[in-house]
Amino acid sequence: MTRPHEGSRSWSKKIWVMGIAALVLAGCEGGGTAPAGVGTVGGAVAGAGTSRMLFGNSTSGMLIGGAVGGLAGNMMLDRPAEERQRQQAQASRDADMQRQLEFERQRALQQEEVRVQIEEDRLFREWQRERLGT
Amino acid sequence: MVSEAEFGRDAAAGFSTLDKDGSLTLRPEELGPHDPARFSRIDTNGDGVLTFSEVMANKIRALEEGDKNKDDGLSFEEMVQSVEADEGIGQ
Repeated sequence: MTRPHEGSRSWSKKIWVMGIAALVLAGCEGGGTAPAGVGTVGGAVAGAGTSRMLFGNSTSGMLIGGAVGGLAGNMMLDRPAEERQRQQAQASRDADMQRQLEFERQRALQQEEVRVQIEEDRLFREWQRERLGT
Repeated sequence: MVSEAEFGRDAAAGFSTLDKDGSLTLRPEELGPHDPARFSRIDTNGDGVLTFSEVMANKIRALEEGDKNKDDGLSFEEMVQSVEADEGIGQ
């Protein structure tokens, strides 16, 4: 004999499973391009759904499940995004460093050219003064 | 023809380029491979470094010796003859 509301609970479970599947697919479709943080939120939502299946309609169960799901989402989506951001930041720092080094090199060369020119003028003028004086 | 002033300007450019530490003197290390005997001849006060005055005194002496027609400058032919005499070429 079927209990009352058993049919609706079954539908409810199916809807949650479909929701979780949709969230997972949404994360995959992003191809890992989702910004950092989306994975955590997505994971938390998915986790909340999972916890609801595991713990029923308990708020604490949802929260615990949400936390676990959040961690899982973080591991699945946020870390690659953070790594990509870290690599981009590193590449940007490297490029800045290269530009700075090139700038310093050019400045040193220019300073040396100016120093040589000043010394040349000074030597020549002093020598000419000596020559005219003798 | 290269005048004495042009000679001096050229020497000043060479000297300041070689004078890497900006000391207004040239140490043997700054000259690269060179003849120590010639260095000693130019270094008239024997302090182990060359001043611009010492370098120019040597160059003016060479210019005067090379200026065969005494027009206060060196023609291309006079320069070639001077270098050949200096290097002992054709002797």
